[in-house]
Amino acid sequence: MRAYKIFMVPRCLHVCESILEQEGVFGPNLIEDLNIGFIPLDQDIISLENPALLNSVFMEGDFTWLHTVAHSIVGLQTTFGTIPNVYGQGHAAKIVESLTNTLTSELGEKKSPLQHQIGHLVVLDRDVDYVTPLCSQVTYEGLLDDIFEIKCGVVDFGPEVTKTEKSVKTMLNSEDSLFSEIRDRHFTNVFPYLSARAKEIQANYDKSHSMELKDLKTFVSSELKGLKQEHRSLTLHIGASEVIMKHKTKGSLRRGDLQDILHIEHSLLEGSDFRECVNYIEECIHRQYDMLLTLRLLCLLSCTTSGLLPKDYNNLKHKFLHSYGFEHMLTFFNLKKAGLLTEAQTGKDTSIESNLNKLADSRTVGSAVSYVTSSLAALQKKDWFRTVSKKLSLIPKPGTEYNLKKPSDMAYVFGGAYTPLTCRLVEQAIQRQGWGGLEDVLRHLPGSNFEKLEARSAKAGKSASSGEQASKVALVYFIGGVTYSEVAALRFLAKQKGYRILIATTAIINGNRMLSSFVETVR
Amino acid sequence: MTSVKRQPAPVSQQAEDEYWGGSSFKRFNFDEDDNNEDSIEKIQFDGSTATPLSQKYESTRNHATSYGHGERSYVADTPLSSTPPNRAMSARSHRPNMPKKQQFPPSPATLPAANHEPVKSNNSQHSMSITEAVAVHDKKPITSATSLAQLETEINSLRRQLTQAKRDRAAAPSVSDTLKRVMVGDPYVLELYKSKDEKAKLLDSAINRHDGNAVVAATLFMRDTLKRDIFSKELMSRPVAVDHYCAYLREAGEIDELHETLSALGRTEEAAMLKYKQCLASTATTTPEIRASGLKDCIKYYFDADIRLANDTSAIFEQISMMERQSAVEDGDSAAEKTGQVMVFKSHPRKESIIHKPVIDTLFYCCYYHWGEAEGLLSSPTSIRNQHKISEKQFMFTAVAALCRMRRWRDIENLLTVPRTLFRSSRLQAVIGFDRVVDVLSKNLAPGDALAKYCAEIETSDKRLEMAVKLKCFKVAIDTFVYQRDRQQLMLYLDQIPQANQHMRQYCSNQLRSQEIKWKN
Repeated sequence: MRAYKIFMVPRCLHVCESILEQEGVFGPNLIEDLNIGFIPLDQDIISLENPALLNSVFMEGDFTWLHTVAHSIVGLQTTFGTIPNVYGQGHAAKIVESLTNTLTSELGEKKSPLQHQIGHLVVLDRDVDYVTPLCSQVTYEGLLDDIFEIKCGVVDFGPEVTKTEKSVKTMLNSEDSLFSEIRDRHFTNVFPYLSARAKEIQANYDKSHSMELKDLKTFVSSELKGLKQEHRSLTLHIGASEVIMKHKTKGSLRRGDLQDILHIEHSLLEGSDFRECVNYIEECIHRQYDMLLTLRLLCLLSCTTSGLLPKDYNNLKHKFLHSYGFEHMLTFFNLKKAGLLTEAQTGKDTSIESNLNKLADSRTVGSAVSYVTSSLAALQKKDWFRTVSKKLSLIPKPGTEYNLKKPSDMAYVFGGAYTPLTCRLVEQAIQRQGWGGLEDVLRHLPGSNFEKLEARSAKAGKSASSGEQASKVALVYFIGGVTYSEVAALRFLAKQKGYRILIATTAIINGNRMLSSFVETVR
Repeated sequence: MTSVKRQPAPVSQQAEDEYWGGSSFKRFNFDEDDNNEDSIEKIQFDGSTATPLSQKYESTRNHATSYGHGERSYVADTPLSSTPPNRAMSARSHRPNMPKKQQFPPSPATLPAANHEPVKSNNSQHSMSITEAVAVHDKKPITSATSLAQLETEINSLRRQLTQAKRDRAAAPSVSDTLKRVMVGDPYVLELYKSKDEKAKLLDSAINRHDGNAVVAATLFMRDTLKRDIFSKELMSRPVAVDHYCAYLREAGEIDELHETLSALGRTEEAAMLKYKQCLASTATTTPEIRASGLKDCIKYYFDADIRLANDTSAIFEQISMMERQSAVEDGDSAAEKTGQVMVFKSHPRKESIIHKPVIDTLFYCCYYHWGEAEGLLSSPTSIRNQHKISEKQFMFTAVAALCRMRRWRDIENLLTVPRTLFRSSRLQAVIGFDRVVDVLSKNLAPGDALAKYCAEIETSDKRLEMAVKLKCFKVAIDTFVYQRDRQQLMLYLDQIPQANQHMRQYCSNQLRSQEIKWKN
């Protein structure tokens, strides 16, 4: 008889136990919890690498995974001290906060004897800002993720990049000094840097030709290895940049030019040329462009305009089903449930349809308004995106030139067209030490907000020096995933304001990965 | 809710048995018993009992702690100050804290589980009571044998107490205690919550703690132990529980139950979508006919009833008619291909079947192989266009691409030509704009002359110039520069024309020298 052991990551659920029990295989010592916790992807990014959470929390309203999120925060606090200031926005964030408190007391984790090393914790729900991940990314790392897909900090460059038969897997993190220099740059600033670097390396190689034997020896033993490594990574990144350039100017059968797409996205963000945008999306459908691309633009249209007009919604859906298959009726339904692609409620309550709606609603039992439906209602606040972006000045006034070479704010990650909403919230929360004065804005965002302040920064009183240091360190937790563009923006913010920002997330996402978790694939 | 589905009662009974007789717990007990016996021996030999008892306690504690994580058993954390009987009990029982945190006084009605116990653990019961007896007596030292009778009565009374304690143990621990165990991953029993109020309280507390796992556990426990309609009523009044329950049902694949729940909640759209998905999934490998009949049932039972789903209903009707068309066309074409008589299938072999493909894919296929067929035929592109209300633009995009692939230039020209009318001669016109036409053609790898022909038709000169330069339609580009009277740019453009193309270079130079053009620069 063989003995088995089951390791449950990150923990054993009641359902798992009862299934094992029902199958008659439950036994002593069968199950162990294996709580992996955070996986460090870089010096400043830790991730649970659980992309399924997005779907289960924000579409199904199932909180089971939030336990894992809270557990990871508890773990961090045991190591680095209890974080005194906590700010959060969103339904899930609120739950995580309360779960963290419960877990801390119930696991009996001792208060760390260390002084806290992290001063602020900002917890944000993904559904607070779906707009940012829906935009095409234009930082180098973001483009790599959009085009080649980065998995757990590793990218697989195919033959078109390596220009050989083989494909190469490369780690992308700050250990590669060249990469850490270009990763967060706007793409237009990557190529000039790479070519300057190439010249430098060439010069270093050339130096060796004119060297004395003795110097040559030290050169080989000390510098050559580093040069070779840099040379290798330089070749790869130049290859990758070339592929990206191709994407930018040359569409294919399945995809329009990136430039056109960017133009449409910027119009959507600004709220200008609405008809042109709808027409472009319609063309994407007509030409059967990549489904996720089409869907991404559709969702962006819906999110920035608080839902499509019924006429547009029905028209686009009808065409979409023709082009990509009727089964995507299910995809549309999922996206509606998640609040990503909705039909705006028209003001006319007299229509037959809304009466029917009312009739159906009154028949439902009791106050059975679930999380799913209530979050939908929150998103349908009219023109919330316009209001919020005006109040937080996320979108520059049209006509202002943006200097991408020397960016002055976080908007550079989208070519100066848009400052990610989440990053602006983080900036404000840390600066103001709470949400005070932002009620006007937060009211338009889904979910509730909260703040817990235990250590106002050293402005007034003189706290211990370590506390002062800690007040410059912030942990930002994205529930539901973060994009590389947001990471880049937060890194920029940290550098600009002299903070140290650590990013914790449940997964690294981009528009395509986010949407594909809602797409139904029945054939 | 018509069909009442219930988990069979034996399961929960069995679960209960498994808990009480569960080997993981039993083994733990034996260890504890050994400990007890050890301590008895020590007491007897030493004569003094205070120290060994605390040692025993320590060892129990350590023991339990060391097992705590490994065996998913729990950590005994009885405080040292508790009275000896309690302490002994705690070493024995599965719930050390129980006696002290007891909140529900045991009532005879809630005690069935106790019946399993006494026979099984007679031995330990004896050793226990002796331990207790000694423990109790350590305060007033035994001086002589005369107190033996006294001791006897003491033992009897303690036995009674113990039986009582045993009964207590079958009562449920406090809700918060259980939920805490669920949250930190310790073993727990829900079967002891017998009354409906207790069950409801368990669920409510789980919801308040936001512990999804506990919410699911409590909900499923209620489903297994309450009558169907009572369970429904309790569930429906708790939206969070509903969400979790639905998520569970979806994961577990209990589609019928999920459908029933959603319908009861009035979430008809979701319920209908669920059935639609189930129908597609279950017919994925069958013939289109079977799927079509499944979809028809789906509409009849789940979609038709709700007017709000009218759009989706008509989409499914379209899907059915498309499937019928696809299977007819597919049958016809594969038969034709097999005969080997039809040229087009020889020169352009069919790649994959069109069954279950989207409408536009089918339209493309029909444009490719069946262009120009009469509308009466199912394979005619025109008939698809009319039946599915394909928009003019959509049709153009698809037809131009398909015809370009087939290299049917004449047909493309006809498609883009507005016939002669009384007032105007025939002319080229494209609803999608000629820039799009050229784009589609170039992406479908059309040859240069075809591109040039339509490139010249692009409506705005700027766009025309852009496309002409990009696609190297030299003549169109030169003509457009001339049209814009931009001599400077034309001179620069001359350099871009390759040396090999002498003809075009000549044409360009001629234009530059031309006297008739009024250059703007």
